[in-house]
Amino acid sequence: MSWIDYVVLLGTLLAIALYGHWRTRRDYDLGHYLHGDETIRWGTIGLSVMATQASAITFLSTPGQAYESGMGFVQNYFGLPFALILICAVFIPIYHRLKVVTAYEYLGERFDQKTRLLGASLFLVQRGLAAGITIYAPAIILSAILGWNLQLTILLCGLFVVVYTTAGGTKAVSITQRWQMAVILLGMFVAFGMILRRLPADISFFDATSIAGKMGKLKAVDFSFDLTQRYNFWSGLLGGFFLSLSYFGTDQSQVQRYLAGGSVAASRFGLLFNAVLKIPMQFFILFTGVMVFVFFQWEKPPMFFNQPAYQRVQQNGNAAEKLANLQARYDGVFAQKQAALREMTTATRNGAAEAGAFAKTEVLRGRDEIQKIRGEAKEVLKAHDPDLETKDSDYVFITFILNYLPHGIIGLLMAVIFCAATSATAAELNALGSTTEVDFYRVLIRPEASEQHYLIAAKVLTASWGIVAIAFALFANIVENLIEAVNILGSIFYGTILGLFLAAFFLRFVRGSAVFIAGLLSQTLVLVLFYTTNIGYLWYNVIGCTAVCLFSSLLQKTILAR
Amino acid sequence: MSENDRAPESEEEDAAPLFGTWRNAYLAVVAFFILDVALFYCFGRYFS
Repeated sequence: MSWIDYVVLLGTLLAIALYGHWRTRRDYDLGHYLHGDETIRWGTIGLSVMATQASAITFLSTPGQAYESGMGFVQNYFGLPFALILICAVFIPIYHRLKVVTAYEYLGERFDQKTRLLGASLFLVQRGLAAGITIYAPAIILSAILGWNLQLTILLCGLFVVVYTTAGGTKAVSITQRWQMAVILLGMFVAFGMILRRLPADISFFDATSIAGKMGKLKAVDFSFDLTQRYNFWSGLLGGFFLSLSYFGTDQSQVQRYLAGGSVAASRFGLLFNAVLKIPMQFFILFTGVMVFVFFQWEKPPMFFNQPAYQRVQQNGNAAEKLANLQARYDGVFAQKQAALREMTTATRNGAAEAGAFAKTEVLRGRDEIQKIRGEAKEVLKAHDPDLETKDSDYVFITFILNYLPHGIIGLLMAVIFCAATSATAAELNALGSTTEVDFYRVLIRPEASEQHYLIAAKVLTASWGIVAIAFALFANIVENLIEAVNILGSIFYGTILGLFLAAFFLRFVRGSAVFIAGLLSQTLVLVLFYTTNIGYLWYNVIGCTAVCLFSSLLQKTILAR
Repeated sequence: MSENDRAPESEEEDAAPLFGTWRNAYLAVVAFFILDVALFYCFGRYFS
């Protein structure tokens, strides 16, 4: 990165944070801090909801996911529009009518305090850990690639968010998120345009898409039904529905965003904006990753994308020799594949089906051979550095940005990553602080105190959660693809939380004690299944939620009938 | 929670700008989703 990139990066981040601070400079009261005000319109709510969900991981990890596995991940979001419709129709009117600050207050109104605390506790555990991952994820990648100190990157990124979130509260978070999302969208469009510009002159957009399709990267929809398969239409529709319903309907980091406006209509439009745009946006980000894949069919990619780690192992004499042999094989296969690719493209253009089919077979053979060599290289790396994370898909997009884009654009895309990191983390800390203050501090510690006292308490608790998240990020060591790590963590807890809310909304005969015991049993069941089976993680949302509704109904009808 | 919490929406709440009613707005979202899936499916099939 050059000084131009640092100017663009720091200028963007500071300008947005200062703008948020300036817009909220006169808002000193508890109401603004915890739930915003009626001046926040549906457009700001929509962008704020989108920015909360789109963390840095979305922009670092998703293109890498598409590079490796194609477009199938988009199915993860297929249940989202239906979940948002249900939230608009059922959840939002009730939240507005009861004038709740946190979603868990509703559980207290409908059931009892212990169920409210159970819901809030599950949220705090899950979101507290997720906030740590949200800070850790970009830091681990940026520090590895740019040579920045990991601990220092986590601390600086984390403290920057903690300061402006603690100072400004909900309204500042919503206002800054609008501009952060604008930078993110602009940056992603620029990145996509730059990838197309960097393709060889004789390869059109149609050729590039055709290559991606023939190499198996464009299969976005798979209708086969398989419980162990992570992404297909059915797991996306059903599991994604429950995941989204829980995330948007009961996760305070989202509930706080759409309750920030003054009216039901503003909240609903903010969510429907996401119901329409989220899937195309994810498709676009994945497609950007696929175009990076096509770009690396013409420009030879590194054998292992985490280059600093690769070079460290390479300094070992024994490993260096093995890696050099693998590199020679890799270079040879890549050249053959590229020649076959050119033949395939020419044949497709000329409509020569037979020649095209033959060339395609050669291309796929080359692709598989390269995968095999990469696998062998990872084994060598792992043998010499057992702690090394060999899954390198998270490093694909950042490698492309830093090595193939011009200065200035690099700064803009780094600003995208940091805007995403700060916007998601700010919403999380804002929600964690508010939930702890409203659902625990006011209930268990200081039921009677002045507004000023609660405002200070909310600020202290928000800052405290920031410190917890930073501490978790400092000690984290995550092996999954980072975006999957966040979704897996959410799925383990979301099913149970959602079950508590669905029982509250739809099972009118169920009372507090039944749903409380059912919640504990269901969470235990999901944890046991997580550690002992190989079920695709999206199904935990369905299982947890169904178990709460089933157990609470049974308990209410039998043991707790009187 | 009082029974009012489950009461039907007021006329003001039921009126959705641009769409007339919220039901129409929800149907538009579902139609958009079906269009998305159909496009993605055809896109993948065409280029495979």
